[in-house]
Amino acid sequence: MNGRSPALGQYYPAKSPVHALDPRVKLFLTALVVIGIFFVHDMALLLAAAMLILVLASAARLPYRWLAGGLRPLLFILVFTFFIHVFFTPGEVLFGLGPVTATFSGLRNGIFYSLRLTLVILFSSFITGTTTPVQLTEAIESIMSPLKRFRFPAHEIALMMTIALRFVPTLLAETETIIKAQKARGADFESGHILRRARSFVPLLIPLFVSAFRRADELALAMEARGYTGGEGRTRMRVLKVGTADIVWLAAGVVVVAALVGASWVI
Amino acid sequence: MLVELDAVGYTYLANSAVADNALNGVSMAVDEGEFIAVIGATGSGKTTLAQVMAGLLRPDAGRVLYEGADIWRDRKQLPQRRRLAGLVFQEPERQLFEMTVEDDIGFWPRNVGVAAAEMPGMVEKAMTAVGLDYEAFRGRSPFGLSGGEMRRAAIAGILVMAPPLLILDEPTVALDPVGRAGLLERMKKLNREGTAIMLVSHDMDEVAELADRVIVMDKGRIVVEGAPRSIFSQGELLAKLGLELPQMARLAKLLADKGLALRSLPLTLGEMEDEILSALGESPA
Repeated sequence: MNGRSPALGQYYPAKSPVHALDPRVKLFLTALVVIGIFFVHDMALLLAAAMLILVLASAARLPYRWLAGGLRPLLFILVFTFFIHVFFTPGEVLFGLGPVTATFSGLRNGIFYSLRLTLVILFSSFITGTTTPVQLTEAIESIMSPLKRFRFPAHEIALMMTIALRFVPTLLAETETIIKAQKARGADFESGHILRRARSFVPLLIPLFVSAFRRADELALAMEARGYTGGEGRTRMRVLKVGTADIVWLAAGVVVVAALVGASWVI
Repeated sequence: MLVELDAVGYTYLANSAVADNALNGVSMAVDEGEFIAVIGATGSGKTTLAQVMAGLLRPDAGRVLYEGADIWRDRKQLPQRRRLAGLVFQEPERQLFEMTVEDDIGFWPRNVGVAAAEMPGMVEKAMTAVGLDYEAFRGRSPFGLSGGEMRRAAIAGILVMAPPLLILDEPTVALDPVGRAGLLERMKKLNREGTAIMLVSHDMDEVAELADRVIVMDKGRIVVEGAPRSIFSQGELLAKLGLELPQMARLAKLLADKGLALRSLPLTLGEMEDEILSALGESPA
């Protein structure tokens, strides 16, 4: 398991004004920017949005290389999007390649749509990079909490997310151990045709399921033993509070997105 | 020489800020039929050592030799060579997955292509070695067994390889006293029958009772190795490394403080009895 570092969805610990922002503000702004990007139809404006993410990343002290690393797992989709557009947009022919032809407008569309997708991914990595998973779930719970009046289980959903995130590293470690343990018994996870390979995962998956259920059982028991009864009447150690900096960022963010979308209407 | 480590080093998360030197220039050897124990505080590198020894972790420095051959040189041979050193992981019952005990223990023979006709005999032998009755347990689900039985079934899954070296990583953790004593007795028997055993343990009484040779680890290095009596007479060094003495060694120290000096350091209850009797001037019964 060498070189395991997909930055996608990973937190990057640093001290920056962006890290210190209220997670709800960040979540709201990210959603706004991502939706805004889908309204942009002009290449120049999209490049402006690309500049924005670079500025934001340096404000948040996120290394560009780290941020770009988040694209790696989705690289295939990006390249795929690009080529689909290059070859399947009608227009003036650039060159032919067998039965398909590349067009000028296809090339333009290919660049535009893969850049748009890249930006959406980068903005998502930006928020997960500057906000801990726990803060994120707190923000989601807080945003969803008005729905509690309609018996929507906002707290329970947030708790489920927290627990799921908490156990990702645990299960990864467990996976590694079981892989080694089965290798010690002559298991082969790497060779053979696809069907054989799929079957070779049974000795890995069953122990993982068994242990995940056992852990879930134990966690439920431990929570009950300590008197956990759900979200009703629960207080927090850290209460989310919108401060001056949050209001400034919120306002600036709304203005920037409005300008982006507005300019795209005008052009 | 069965297995030999030559200046082995292993680093977790190499090239990162949290790089952790789990092993650092470790050289050691295990001979045929030996019973050695590896002790050390948590995080001293014992488990990593066991996994490197078993050919499951590739060291980033040094060589691992099985009967003189460097096992990481020829990757094709590696799966076959791993038969030489069977590793029982911590809480090995986590690796059970088959519908029946027999099929689970048969995982290794199936993987290496043992003929179906030979399988039952091999499985029965492995089950007998851990004290599971073949007829009574072969058809049962491994998930319906008691904790101790699950552990024994999992160990049988390694013993079915008939490895010349059996590596046990904390095999008695979370077993009840009866299960613990029974398991150790069986490991002792296996050793008498010729299997070399490397026991990684936190339990000094286990180590004092069973091992011919003790290896003490600290921060990824071997600090000292030797016969149990010589290791456990270095109480101060062990205390500095966060390790305790076996009960009998501690009792001997208390007796010495009270003025009853023993001739040599007793490691087991029986030895203690003899030492006390002879110190009191009575001949052992």
